[in-house]
Amino acid sequence: MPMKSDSHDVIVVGAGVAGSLIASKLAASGLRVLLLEAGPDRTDRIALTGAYAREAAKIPSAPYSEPIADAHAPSPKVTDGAENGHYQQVGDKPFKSTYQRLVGGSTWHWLGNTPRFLPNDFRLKERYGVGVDWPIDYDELESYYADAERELGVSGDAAEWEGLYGSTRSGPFPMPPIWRAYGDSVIAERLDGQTFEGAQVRIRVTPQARNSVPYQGRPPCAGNSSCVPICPIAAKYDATVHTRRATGPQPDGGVPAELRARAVVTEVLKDENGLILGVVYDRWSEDGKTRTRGEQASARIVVVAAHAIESAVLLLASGLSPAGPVGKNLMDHLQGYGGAVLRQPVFPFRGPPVTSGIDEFRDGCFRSERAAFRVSIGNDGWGRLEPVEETVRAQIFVKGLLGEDLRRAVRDRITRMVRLSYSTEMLPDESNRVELGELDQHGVHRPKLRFGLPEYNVRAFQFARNLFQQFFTKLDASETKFSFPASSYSGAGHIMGTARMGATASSSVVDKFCRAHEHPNLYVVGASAFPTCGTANPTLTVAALALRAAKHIELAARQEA
Amino acid sequence: MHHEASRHRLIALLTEACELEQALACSYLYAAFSIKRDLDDDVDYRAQNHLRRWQSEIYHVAAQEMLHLAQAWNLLTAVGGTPYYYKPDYPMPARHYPLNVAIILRRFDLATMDRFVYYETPSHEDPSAPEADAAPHFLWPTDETFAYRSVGELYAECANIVAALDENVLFVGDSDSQVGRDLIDFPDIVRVTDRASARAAIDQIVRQGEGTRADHADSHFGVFLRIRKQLAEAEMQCSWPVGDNPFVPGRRDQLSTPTHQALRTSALTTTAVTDMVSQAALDLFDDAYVVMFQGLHYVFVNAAEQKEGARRFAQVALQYMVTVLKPLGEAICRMPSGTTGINAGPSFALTRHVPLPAPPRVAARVYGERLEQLSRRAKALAREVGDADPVGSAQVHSAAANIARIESTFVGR
Repeated sequence: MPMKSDSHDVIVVGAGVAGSLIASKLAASGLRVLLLEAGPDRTDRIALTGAYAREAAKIPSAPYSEPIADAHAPSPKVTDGAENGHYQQVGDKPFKSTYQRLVGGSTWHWLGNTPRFLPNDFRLKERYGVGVDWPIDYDELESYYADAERELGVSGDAAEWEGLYGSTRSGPFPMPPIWRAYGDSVIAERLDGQTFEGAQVRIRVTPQARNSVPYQGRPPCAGNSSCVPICPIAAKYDATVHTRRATGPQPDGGVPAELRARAVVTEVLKDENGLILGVVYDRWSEDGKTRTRGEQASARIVVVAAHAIESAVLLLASGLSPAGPVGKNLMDHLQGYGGAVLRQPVFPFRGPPVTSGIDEFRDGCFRSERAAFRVSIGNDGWGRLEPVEETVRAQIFVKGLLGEDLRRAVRDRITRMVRLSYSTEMLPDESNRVELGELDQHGVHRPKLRFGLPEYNVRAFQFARNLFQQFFTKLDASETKFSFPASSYSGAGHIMGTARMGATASSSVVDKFCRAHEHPNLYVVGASAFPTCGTANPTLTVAALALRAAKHIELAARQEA
Repeated sequence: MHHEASRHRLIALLTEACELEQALACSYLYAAFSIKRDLDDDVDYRAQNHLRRWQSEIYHVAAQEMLHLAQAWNLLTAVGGTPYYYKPDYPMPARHYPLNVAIILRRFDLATMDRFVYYETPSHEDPSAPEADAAPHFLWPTDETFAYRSVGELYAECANIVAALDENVLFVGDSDSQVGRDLIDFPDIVRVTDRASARAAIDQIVRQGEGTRADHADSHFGVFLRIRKQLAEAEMQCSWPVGDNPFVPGRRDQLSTPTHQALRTSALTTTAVTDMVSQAALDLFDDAYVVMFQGLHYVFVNAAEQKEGARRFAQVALQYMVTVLKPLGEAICRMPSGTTGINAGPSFALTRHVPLPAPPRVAARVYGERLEQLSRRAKALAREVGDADPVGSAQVHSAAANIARIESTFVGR
């Protein structure tokens, strides 16, 4: 089919953090960029916050879910069943993480934590004989980490992180650290500097893309504590910052990108030699009543940045990179929790849900046998282990309390509740994968997921639970509770690995610049490019890789021109 | 008038800066306290979102002003001065400082935001004073201060003196006396030990306050410009009808009473709070305010000798700021003044500048007793406020509970 004349230098598929960052950089450089996003462009933050307030189920999708968008650009929800949601789950175990399709993507509801990967996260095979190695290392990425921290606006204390497991920093964080929650200081008093399982732990304030001071015209965190799923005041970074930067006024020589929301890309077109020609997409109307199919746009370069599952579906549906492991090696950070009631109040819910963590179990020889994990200290009562409404219900229906007695009991209990979470790395495994599922009402494939729970992670769960019990004993907790059963897990929302980078076309989909081995003018960016997942929340690494890829894309576009 | 670069002049200017930082911080807090923030207060959901965001931004600016005050204390300690927390009571007429505009306590509205923008406008911008009751080119009578147009200019002069004097002679303070993050939870605080760190501290204050010529979006000036613009566009009723410059008549232990004679020739007004319960609340607030400063002052004066003990006082000071003064201040803005249609507001009046004694056991005893006194008074106030205003009442109860908890923790019960 001949391409229509809707022609651009670069098409970016997906207006999440990776796509929006790349679009903003390329627009500033003067390239003509078309940014396509399957979901809507929701600009009224107050209305979204109100929608969240009205929802009974306080889940990540609560502010964003609405029937029209759900019908045309469906997003998975944590409340989905095995068959009635966006995923088709056919594996032994459910894949639990979700994402959100709208301009800005999942950064609308992310927690905002931005630790970096550790040097050994890039060298798992070489160091511990498991997993694979990245085609780049920490030192190559370090300057892009620094750039990403400036772009997103990250708060942190460089002195706390310098030298952690051999990692270095070329400069300070753009902003001072977010004040740690009161509970963190209570915990630090008992745990900081103590040795557990051979490691001397430190309570470090977590680097986060959340303003501690006014930054680039956005206000500092005011402690609304509803970061997941929405920051009412935009103190937490979300990718609309870069979407607006891409489409807004540009510096000298720049060209504003064109954003087309409600554009579901159904195919990436290629010629017989594998050269990418453009994309085909459906465009649905704001009222949902019409959906124009088969729109086409052409470009010299196409960047797929549609989040790890949708990117894989698109590549598979388009027959791209047939030699590589497209859709395979699906990974997430599998999480579990321990909760305690302390004898003194910790006053949670003042500030972000997590402000500090413990990083002493993120690396070591044990990784040849069990997963590494990062510990987060919650500032949200028992978090997912027991949401506060359950705590209140227990006082009413189990203890029979009402009125002032109820108020007193709830105040007494919740102010002393603290939770720790462990977030374990997964190893790449081809049996965990994304495949093409059945077609939806619009003729677009649903993602079919195969997922299993590795023993590598179960061993880490057991270790972490034992460790947490030691922590709680040191904290003199009066009551404790853990995720049950011991092998249970939650998804972290960190979906990775489905178009991983590597040296060869048979073992990987993209090279170290995220360019597809088999299609020289196709890039696949985002966490889908991760060969391994480490223990750090992935978004900062996604941003760093995107900035690195953007330079390569710009160079490639100019060379081609 | 010759302005000498000398240690004495530097200490005088830094001390003047301490007064200004505190004066501005309280003015900002007063406006923030007066903002309506609940749906029950006749604001709709959309307005509530705007109001709470503006309130949080002004609180953040006020918090940074407190950091600037603490930073000025570190600077003073480094060059042979001592931490200082005197300030005049409100209103401070325009002639009191060379800023040429009065520093007052006034509710949150466009006129107040005009004033805040002016306070923070860098001298290289074109400031338009909302009002001035001093003649232009006013000459200042001492050889210590000078006719600065902005707080940034004042600090710039301090920086000039630091640069002019011999570093080895100027920085006489014990570096152990410097207060850092190990003692107090101010993430940005700079320990000042030499010219470079002094410069860094001053640059941070100016950058946060005014920004730079190239970029002021995230400075206090930029924040206030944004809020003013958004407020002008929103056209909403947004604050309690608190009176200007409230005071409790006849409080003999206040440092100064408003100079009504001087004010008669100006447009400034004061609000006498005559409602008995509101008076008790203002008294409690002012005494809590002093207790907060006493604790903070103790930390900065005794950092070298008593680090462990000093930390306890720092915790009290910060907890008082956030969990006592804030809810109490907001509650007072909802209370009657005694004049129909005008609400009360906290007066931020200081009692005499009475530091705590240095010996830690004595200081702890004296401070603990004072905390216990305030706890009893706070409980009594909570009983008196009644339930006519459930939100305000809840805030008073919350402040009282926090005062009791802080006292209990401090004395180790």
